[in-house]
Amino acid sequence: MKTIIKVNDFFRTFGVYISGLAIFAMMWIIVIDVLMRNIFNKPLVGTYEIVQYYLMPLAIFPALAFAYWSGVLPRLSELISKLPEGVQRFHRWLILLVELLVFTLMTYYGFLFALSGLQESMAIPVGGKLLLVWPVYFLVPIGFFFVLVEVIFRLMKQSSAKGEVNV
Amino acid sequence: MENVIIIVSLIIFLYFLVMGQYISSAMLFVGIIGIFWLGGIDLLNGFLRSEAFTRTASYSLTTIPLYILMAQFIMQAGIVKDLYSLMYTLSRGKPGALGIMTILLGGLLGGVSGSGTATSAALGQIAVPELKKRGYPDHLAGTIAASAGSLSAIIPPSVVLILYGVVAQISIGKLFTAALIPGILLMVSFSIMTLIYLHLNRHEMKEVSKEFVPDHVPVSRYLIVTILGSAMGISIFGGIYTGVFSPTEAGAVGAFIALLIALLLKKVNLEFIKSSLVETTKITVMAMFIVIGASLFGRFISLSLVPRKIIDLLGPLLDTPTLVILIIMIFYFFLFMFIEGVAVILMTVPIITPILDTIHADPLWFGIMLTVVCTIGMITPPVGISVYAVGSVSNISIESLFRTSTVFALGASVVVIGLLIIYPELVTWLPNQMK
Amino acid sequence: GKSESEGSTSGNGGKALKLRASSGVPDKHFWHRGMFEPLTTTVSEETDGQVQFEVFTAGELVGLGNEMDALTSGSIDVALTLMPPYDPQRFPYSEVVMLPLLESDAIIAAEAMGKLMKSDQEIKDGKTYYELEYTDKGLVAFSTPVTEPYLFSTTKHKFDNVGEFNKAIRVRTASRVHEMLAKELGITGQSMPITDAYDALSRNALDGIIYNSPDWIAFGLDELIKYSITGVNFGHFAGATAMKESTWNKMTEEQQNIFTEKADEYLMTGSQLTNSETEENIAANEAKGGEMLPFDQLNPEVQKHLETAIVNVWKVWIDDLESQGHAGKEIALLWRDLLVEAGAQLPTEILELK
Ligand code: NA
Ligand code: NA
Repeated sequence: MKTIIKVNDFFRTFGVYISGLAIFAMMWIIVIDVLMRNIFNKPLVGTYEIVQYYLMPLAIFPALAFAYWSGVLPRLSELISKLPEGVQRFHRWLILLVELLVFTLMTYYGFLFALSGLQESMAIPVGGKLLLVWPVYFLVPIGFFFVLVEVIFRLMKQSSAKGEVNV
Repeated sequence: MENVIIIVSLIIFLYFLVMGQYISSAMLFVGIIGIFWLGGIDLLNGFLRSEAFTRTASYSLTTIPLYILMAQFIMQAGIVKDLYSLMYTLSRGKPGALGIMTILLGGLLGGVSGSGTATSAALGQIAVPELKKRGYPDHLAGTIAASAGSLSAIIPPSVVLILYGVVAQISIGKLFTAALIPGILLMVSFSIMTLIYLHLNRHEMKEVSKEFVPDHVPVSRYLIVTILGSAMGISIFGGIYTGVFSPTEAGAVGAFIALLIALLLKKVNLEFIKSSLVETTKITVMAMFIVIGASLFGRFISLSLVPRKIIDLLGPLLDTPTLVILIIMIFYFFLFMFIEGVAVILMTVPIITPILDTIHADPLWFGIMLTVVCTIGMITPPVGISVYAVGSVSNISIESLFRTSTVFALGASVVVIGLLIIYPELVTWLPNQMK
Repeated sequence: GKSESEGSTSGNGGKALKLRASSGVPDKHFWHRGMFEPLTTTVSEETDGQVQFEVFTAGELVGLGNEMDALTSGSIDVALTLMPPYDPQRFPYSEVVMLPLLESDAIIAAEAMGKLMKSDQEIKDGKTYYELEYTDKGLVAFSTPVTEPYLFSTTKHKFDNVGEFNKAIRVRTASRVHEMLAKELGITGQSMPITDAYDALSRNALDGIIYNSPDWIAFGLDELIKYSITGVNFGHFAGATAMKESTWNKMTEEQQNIFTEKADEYLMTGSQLTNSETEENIAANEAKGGEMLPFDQLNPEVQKHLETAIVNVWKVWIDDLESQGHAGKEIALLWRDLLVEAGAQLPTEILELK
């Protein structure tokens, strides 16, 4: 169990760095494009497509689990915190089960999406050529899968929990 | 049957929202059950497969990570702290000035931050103690911080505007430009409210010491920060205005300039880059989680034909667009009272845009109106996240804060919303100059 | 023909068929006014309400360009705006319509397009254009109305000499073929959504645009464009209105015939509609200081430059398709012949291609 947690911690951190670097790369590629265009009259070919189809998905999906885990996702907590502990506990369970369902579906359908992209070897036209885009599709199920793992961890903590779990 | 599905789904949505499920998950969940209920597993299969990717793979959404990255670089470089200290030094012992300065600072801070909660919390920590030291009563000091913080919802870059632009398909650059004058109007109204309150409290204030303790920051540093800050603002707006880069690209250029400034201030090291990137990613992914959830939720709303039904209901009123707008705004005022701004926009804009289309309302003007109401909603009870943020960092009771902040909100509503309805040019003039 | 060869008799047993139809363009677009609206209405009327449509416009349900996935995954029953030319990976042959030529208009191109869809000429592996692009994917498709010619317009360059065609000129392009064309002309192609074009042109972030004139007013481009070359046509555009064969077979043969007949009719009338709106758009542009530059009055060197680029794009495109294992030559020659037959003018070198 401890190993699984450690492995998951590793992937979560790895994911956020991948996404962070994708955002950093996005800044550089756009700035270079702006400079090349205005100074040398020679824009960087494919900036638009590479940012849209590669860097944006890379900036988001690898870090889904990190964002979920970090507690940054907004929720309304005022009312529930005023209800009796039993009611709160019931809703923590209910909500986690709903999240389990939601992210199982997101992972499963994301996988189907990636598979169909692979089968059709999806590509996008860039500067007159075709650039493969289906490998990026696999970030979707992978990203949601790690969110699902976070949900399962919370469920396990919840079942062995005494106190508050940050749902 | 469709009506039953819609009503039950919306009740489930509100229930899970109030019971504390993440807003993004609640929208995903209701989107899923709603679409499934309307069209079975086949229909669900269709929308669930591609929605996440197609929403994310978008060039115009790069504004979210890049503007946030810019803000992170600025924050991490310590520019904001220096700026506040400068404001404080400049205001030398004049209570009215310091209050107004705080609102101004809120506007400036809002200019680099997309999040009202973060700005309010920051001001709650920095400004509230200073204001109290100058004799401001708790409730007023807290309200000033909260309303100053709420400004980041309208002063660009603003997540609210970005998401509205995305959902309503309007140029985000135009929205940003259009929001400037209304944002300044809000600052002016909050400042006037502050002066009125100060006047009412003038007897209490006299009893407090007026000792002025300047911060020990070298003047050269103020100079550097001011020059670099202005240079940054000028190059971003100048670049957009002259067409050197697009408003979307301005996020990248702004982040790059902020990085250069941080380099000049010798703040850049591995830790600086690492924490900026991790923080940026966290906030970006949070926003995108909501965008994806809202998108699926929006598909359900479209499939259920709710917008068409509402248009049919409003049918007799459609000849008097002003009345329709007024009804919509009142409806939003209540929504923003209870629900967090971003969630409201993502939930409702898909329903509202067809109505706007039908009555030929300008979606740009409407988006700004909506953002004003949203900004004000951040300081009204029962859900006023700016007030909560200030309350939680300053230990001032939420109830006493709301008593004053609601008056601020009402004052600003009457003045700003009234002006924007009477003079829509206040919104449309500036973006039309971008040629 | 589609309906004849299928001869479906499955029908829907007297129960009304309700189809979810999605369009990625607003209801003011000529595709909607010229085809989607009248098609869905008349089919529903003439089948006595047995076939009904729930029409979603402006990408409310499915964004423009995502229709293929939406069809196969079952989100929608009818894709009013399937965009094969934007998806050269899956629809390699449909780009052919975007190849540049000299003189033509929407009506000429629509006639050629209608014939291309019904052509029984084998392109590859014994299959026709329609079979390669649609039947093989399990689709039944009809061409949408065809646009007027894509014109080359700029905000300040008057095309006085060949030197004006350089990398510093940034032009918004709508497709891969336009990218090839930009390359051949020596200018810089920049892909961006058409909704961003006004913004970019007005702020000098873009120097020109390749676009069909009847859509100028809708996007405010009539205010910004200064010079446009007429009499040289940078291609047409046509999407497809499509559904899965399994959806199609839910209709009775009679209903299918009504649908087919109406779709064919609106391909022509819809193209006439956009053709009829060219004049007012050009007039609006001229009233705001825009100037039309007829091709044959340009500097002869510039004429030559443009014509060479047009010819080269055909060759580059054909080679590109052949290199991917598609029958680029066959489809290009078929399209050329259909265009000529309908009355279009092409450079001699293309007419001589074999
Ligand atoms: Na802001
Ligand atoms: Na509120």
